Amino acid sequence: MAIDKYEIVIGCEIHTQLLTKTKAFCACENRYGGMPNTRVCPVCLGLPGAMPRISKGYVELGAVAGHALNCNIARFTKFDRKHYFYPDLTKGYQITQYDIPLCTDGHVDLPMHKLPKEQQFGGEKCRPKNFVGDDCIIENGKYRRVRVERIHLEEDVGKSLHLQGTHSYIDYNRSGTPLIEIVTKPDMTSPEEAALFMETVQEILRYVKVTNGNLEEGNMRCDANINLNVWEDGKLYHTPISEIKNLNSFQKIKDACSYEAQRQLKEFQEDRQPFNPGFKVTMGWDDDKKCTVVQRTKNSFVDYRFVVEPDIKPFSVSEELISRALEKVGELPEAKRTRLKKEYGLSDFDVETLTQTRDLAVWFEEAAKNAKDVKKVANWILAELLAVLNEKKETINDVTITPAHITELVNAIADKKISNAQGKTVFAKMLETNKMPSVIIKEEGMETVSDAGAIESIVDKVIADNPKAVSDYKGGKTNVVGWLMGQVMKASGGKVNPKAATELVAKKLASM
Amino acid sequence: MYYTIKETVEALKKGEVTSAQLVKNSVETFEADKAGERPLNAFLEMYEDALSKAEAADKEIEEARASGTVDALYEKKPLLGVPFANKDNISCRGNRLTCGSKLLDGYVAPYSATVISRLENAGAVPLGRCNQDEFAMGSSTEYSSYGATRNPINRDYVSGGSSGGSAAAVAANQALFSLGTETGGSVRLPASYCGLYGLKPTYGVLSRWGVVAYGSSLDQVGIMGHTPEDIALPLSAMCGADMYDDTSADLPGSDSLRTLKPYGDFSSLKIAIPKQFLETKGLDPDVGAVFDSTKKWFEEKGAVIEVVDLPVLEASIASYYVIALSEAASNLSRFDGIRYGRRVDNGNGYDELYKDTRSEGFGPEVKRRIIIGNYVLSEQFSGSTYKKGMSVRARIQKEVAALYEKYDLILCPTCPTPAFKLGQKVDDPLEMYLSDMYTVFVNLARIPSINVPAGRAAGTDGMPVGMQFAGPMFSEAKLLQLALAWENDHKGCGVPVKE
Repeated sequence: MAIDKYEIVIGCEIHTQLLTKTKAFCACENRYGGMPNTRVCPVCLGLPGAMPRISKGYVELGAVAGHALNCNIARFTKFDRKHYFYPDLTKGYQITQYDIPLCTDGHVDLPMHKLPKEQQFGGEKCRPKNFVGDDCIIENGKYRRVRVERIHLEEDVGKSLHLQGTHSYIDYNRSGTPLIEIVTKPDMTSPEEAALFMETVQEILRYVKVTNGNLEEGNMRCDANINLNVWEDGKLYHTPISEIKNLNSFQKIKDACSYEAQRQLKEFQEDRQPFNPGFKVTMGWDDDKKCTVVQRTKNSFVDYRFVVEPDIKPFSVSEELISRALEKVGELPEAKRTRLKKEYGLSDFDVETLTQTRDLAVWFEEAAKNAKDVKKVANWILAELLAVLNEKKETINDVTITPAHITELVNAIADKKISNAQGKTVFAKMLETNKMPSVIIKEEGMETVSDAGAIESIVDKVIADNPKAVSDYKGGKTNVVGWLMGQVMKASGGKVNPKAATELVAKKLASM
Repeated sequence: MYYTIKETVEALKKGEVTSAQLVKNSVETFEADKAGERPLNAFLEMYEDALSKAEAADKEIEEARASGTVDALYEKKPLLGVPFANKDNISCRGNRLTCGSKLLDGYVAPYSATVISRLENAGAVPLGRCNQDEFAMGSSTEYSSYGATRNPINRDYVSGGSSGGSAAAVAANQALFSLGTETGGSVRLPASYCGLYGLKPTYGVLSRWGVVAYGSSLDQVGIMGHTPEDIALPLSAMCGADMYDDTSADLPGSDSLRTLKPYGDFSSLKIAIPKQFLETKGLDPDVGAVFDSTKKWFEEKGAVIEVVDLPVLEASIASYYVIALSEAASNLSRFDGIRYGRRVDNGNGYDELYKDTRSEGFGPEVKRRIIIGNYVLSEQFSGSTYKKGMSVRARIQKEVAALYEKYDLILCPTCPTPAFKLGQKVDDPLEMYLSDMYTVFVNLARIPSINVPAGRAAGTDGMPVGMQFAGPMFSEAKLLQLALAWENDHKGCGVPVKE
């Protein structure tokens, strides 16, 4: 028997912590880390008699995520309980949404240029007709569409720390933290695509301020469901599905999926385990040994015994909340990049950097609004402002100057009121004092002299004071022009319009 | 000793008695009873801080009396200095809470239930915690890990369950009024067995925050007392929406509870008696006779009584057990020995830790219900049973609400039989479950209902028989007014309040 070819099929479940002030169902602060078990209360500890209540902003942030991933938002929904026993789970169940998730039927478009060449449009592997169809290729292969089945709200559990062979310690600070779980259709066809999916979702959700998306802090983690379609002697087989839990970096997703695909292929060749819908092997990723490890066997059926959460009334999601959430989404990063490129003629690199965060992009556009040279606005922000911010480890939100400062600075240079070099001085002063560039220029007496008569008198004086230079020029040393220009600048305190002055010096010398 | 809240408050105001004396008196009665041959076992424990809370109340009263503002003080704190008995599943900060279970041995509540803090805000003094069926599962208070509670009227009999301790404490005059909880009748049933008034309010009228859950969508805190007024006053202090309980709701017209008037105009009162309750096979003839005399009283007063057909009621016990046990299995999942309570750890890993802790900690009735609940919820076996139970419940709610468009009241016995003897049904859970047949529809429909002491049963050494008045949602004030009219015509029908 011979394997003709195989395809990788991946679906993802991404858990993301939401940026609410309080935990999902109590008033404890929603924050990472801290002394273990210092941010806990009867509700998140599951003490007898404690009852959950939905935190302000929780549902709305979920709806923002839903809009951002192009989902439909439910007008009426509820919470359910999902049962299992584990020490970091305080109530013996997790409050989640079972049959009526807040968001359904969305999609995320992956920018194909970020994938390895061979996986981009045109390669055989990116056209898995059997399960996605050609619909997944958007805009002539610029994007690949991954369908989002649902996004539901749920609470996080605590964290266990196991000391080898002795004790386990549990920190419940994270218990009750609000999460969304994003569940995709099995639309991804390579480990790289799965990683790109998570990266894209992270960017979008950070952009709309749903999450910090900090992978190291566990703000975001991915479970990957993976199996293979294998054609053997013209016949199609599906390998059993593995769910690889808690992948918290893009690299780990790639590594784990690649490893697992090869493992499944090998297992298929050896014993041809049949595909069994509803059953899957739960795996973990051992990053030291670089292999997947079985956590629960394929024969165990997990029965979560879902029940309606009776302590929280089923609730309506108001149209106001839904439209408010939509407003908060606004323009998404990919759309913004396309528009900025087209509208301002900026380079790919400039646009990528300017759209790193929504706040930066908004800041840039604000500065660009009345600027005479948008490209220069971009340059000042990218080269000067961001350099300062990076050095101070600050973000655009920490900046005390306004976008109008940059607009005025760029316009002053464009109008030749000051030179580029003077611009740098003004920029530094501006950051220091928050004064507008016009004020700084005036106070420092930096206006360039553009008045022709004034320039001429300075030029005449410089030529008259330097007869040797004039004779050198006459002797054929044309670089004297530059030297004389320097003298003109010096004499004027750097204020003359250099272009006009240079032309005048050249003209005067030529006529002598 | 003063036996109604009204009398007690008057005496406290005048300085004829102090709250501390009332507490000491209760403690002495409790201690004496405990030392006796067949103790009631109504209280499991008197709170250690009860006396200091009473003394603080006395100080307030004393100061107000000196400045002539004692009436104004009682306007603000209508229950100042009044001791009450709590059930062992309602959290009272700094005190032990076990829900009648070994599994919660040693657990101290770090916060108070809203009902407790609201009573304390009104000046009431929590005396101690009363015995109950383990995790409120049972109809006789024989399923407590701490032994059964005897009925004070005749100690051979059960006190009803699951709030049997709370009922016995009041009936034995160890407390002025008491709090119980019910999921399917656990306040009304013991009130009926012990000859007390017992109110189960509309779902949500009393906050469940701090009350250990059994069947969350059915659970409600209830009040037991010697008179309707003894229920109305604590109810007015505790009712109202609570930000800590999403399912709580305001009680319209709760102002009238402070000065309860007997119901006057019976001529426009229309009463429904569901046919399904008349055809019950297990109805005891003595209870039937009391039922007849109750109907007669209403008719003589001018009310109209009609028999109605409500077939959906036949499914109420089934629907009730499906929902209650599903939610119970879920609610009891948190008792795993990890964070509090008793832990049995033989060092064989988590699964064994849970198994051993829960096997040794829970009693047989609780285990039975957890197993049934989990079976009902299990996708593999019968996931649809839960959904079916929920849809039957929705029908009950709808049809009962529709009935109240035509009628003011549903009248029926609280229990098909009077109290039975200790040990008589404890090994026959199905027989025990049928004690709830007249009460569970009230919890399923989320409506209020009150048990009124209505007579005695000759066949059981003259044990009390109770009737229930069930009204539409939020009709608490009307039910209590009706009960007061009843009380005025039937003084001494319940347990004697003075020995």
